[in-house]
Amino acid sequence: MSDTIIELRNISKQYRNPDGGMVDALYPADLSIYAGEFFTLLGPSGCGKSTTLRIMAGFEAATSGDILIKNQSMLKVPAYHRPVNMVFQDYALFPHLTIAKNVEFGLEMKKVPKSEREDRVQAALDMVQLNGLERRKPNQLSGGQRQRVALARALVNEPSVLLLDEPLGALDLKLRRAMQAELKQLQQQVGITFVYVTHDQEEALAMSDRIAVMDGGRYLQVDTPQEIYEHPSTRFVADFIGETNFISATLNSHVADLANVQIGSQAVGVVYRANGIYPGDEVTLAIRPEKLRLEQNANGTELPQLTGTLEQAMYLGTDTRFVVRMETGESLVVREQNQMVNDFRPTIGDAVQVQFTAEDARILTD
Amino acid sequence: MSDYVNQVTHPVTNSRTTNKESAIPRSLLGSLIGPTWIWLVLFMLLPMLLMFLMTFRTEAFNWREWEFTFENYRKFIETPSYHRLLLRSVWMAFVVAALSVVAAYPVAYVVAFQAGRWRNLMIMLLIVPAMSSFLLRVLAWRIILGSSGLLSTVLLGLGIIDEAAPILLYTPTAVIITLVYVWLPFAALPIAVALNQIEPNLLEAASDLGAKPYATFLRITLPLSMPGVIAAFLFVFIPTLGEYVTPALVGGPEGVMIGNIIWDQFSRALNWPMGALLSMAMLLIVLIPAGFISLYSKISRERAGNYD
Ligand SMILES: Nc1ncnc2c1ncn2[C@@H]1O[C@H](COP(=O)(O)OP(=O)(O)OP(=O)(O)O)[C@@H](O)[C@H]1O
Ligand SMILES: [Mg+2]
Repeated sequence: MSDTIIELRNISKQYRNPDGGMVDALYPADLSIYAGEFFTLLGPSGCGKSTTLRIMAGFEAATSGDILIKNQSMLKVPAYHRPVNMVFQDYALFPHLTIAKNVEFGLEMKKVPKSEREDRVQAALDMVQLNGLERRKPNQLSGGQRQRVALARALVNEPSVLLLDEPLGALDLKLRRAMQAELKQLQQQVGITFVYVTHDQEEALAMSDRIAVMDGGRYLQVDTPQEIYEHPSTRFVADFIGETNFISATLNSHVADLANVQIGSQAVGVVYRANGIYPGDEVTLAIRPEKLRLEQNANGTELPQLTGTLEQAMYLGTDTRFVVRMETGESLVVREQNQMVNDFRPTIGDAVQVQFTAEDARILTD
Repeated sequence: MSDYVNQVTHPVTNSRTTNKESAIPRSLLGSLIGPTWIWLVLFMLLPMLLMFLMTFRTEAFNWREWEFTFENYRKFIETPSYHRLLLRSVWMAFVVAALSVVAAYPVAYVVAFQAGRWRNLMIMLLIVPAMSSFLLRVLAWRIILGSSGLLSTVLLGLGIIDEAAPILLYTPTAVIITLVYVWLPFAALPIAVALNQIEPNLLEAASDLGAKPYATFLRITLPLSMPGVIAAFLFVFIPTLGEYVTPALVGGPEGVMIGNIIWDQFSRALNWPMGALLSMAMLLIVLIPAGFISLYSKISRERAGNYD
């Protein structure tokens, strides 16, 4: 891929609590962000997303490690000299300044000449479609408009990297969806690297070039949305991104990249990617609901299949969500599209076969 | 009771309630607001009115004989020393208020931003001296500034002066120093409150946009703390203008303020009408800047809305 623009080397962060104890907000880790990409930090509340961003912005000093922006160490560079700008979750617009003055602030600080400043402010406000509101104060704008001002105020400085800490968090769902599309388009238009923080997995999948899934101060998996969705590396990632079935199993044997696992009384073949597990080990199979198919009876297929009883069927418009209770007592969620291809319409209480492709099941060891 | 509150705040939503229901709260409204008005009239407006009437009289005590005269006004207008005194008092109050604000700002800044877990202790330390007698604190400065006082002794020891002498004592400067000391905690608190209300991420945002610390202070912190600064200024200006104890104790002949003359008119000269007139003049002087400021802040609030 392209050049690395931000590099975290062995970065860790501990906060000191008021009682004197230490909180591990980030465990030592490396992270590279490439120039021009839309990079997302995704994880539940308190996992260290903001801390990562604040270390990049220079508001927080790392406890250990180094941070490089454009191959230069930022350890001794204060926030006001870093080539990055931040969009805050609550926007942090200056309440006593007009919209135009808010957007102009960064340029004024960099002593850009007055006439150029005015042009660039206009261009930035045009870009976020806010022209005409220059003379208003922040509290005379709607939430969505404030969000745009915050964007314009950061982008007008033409930073190398734009840091966004849950910038859509305060907006209602509809506006949020609209702004997601706009943000993504804006990022492609200006070509600036975005480092984006969210705890909304759908948002992360929709917008990002790459995602770092975080939990408890660690980067669990850093990869493209597709890889993370299709090949989650841990149970946490599989569970956090989308809906996943977890099936307890025991490894029977494995040959090359094919494994045979025992689920209750049934043995099924799946793709083997994990390392360090041996026959007899307890493992977990992870499989997405949309990768499962319901069949009436065990037709002579080669596909792995599990036997169970249909417990629930929920019609959801484009698809139907089934819950199947397996012989082992565990339940499976199956999602099937409501096309006419599958003429099998089971009713509650029916014995069913759940089929899948060996490729689609992952063996998780944690 | 809650009906009555709804009535006032949501007149539209309650428009369907019957007349009978709304009649009761209205009388309740009268009885609730009543005592406040009685209080105000009895203890504020009536004394003021009496004072105002007094300015048109020749003597204070015999209210049966009523002679309406502008004599006091004529005398006031024709006596330049009154004007000088008023002007000097306004000037001194202004200097004291300005210096107090300037001295209090760093204290407030530390309390609001840098004290961390020591904040409550610092606020305590700030307030504790203010709990001791006002008179004591003024007298303490007499000792510091006096001929055998700290300042004189130190300067003598350093060989800067040859014999023990009161330094600054009995001058307007002494009044100013003493009052700045006395008012400092009262000026620091409203500023600290205003600083404390500034969202920390505004300061981070400024820094993120390239503002060095002093630029952040000038462009963000200072403007956003202005309500506190104005409050602090008025907190000091208003009582200082009417001050008469401090000038009497440390001011000397040059440090006399309008309050001392008013006190004289009432107590020694027994010229209450002139005392009343001077008091009214002083009140006017306080009201003008206070009025301007409240008008200004009302306008800027309407333009900007509250800082939320
Ligand atoms: N100033 C601080 N002092 C002490 N602990 C802190 C401080 N800031 C953050 N933490 C702790 O560090 C951890 C990570 O916090 P961080 O703000 O990075 O989480 P986050 O992923 O941004 O969460 P959210 O989605 O809720 O914003 C949390 O456990 C938090 O309590
Ligand atoms: Mg956060």
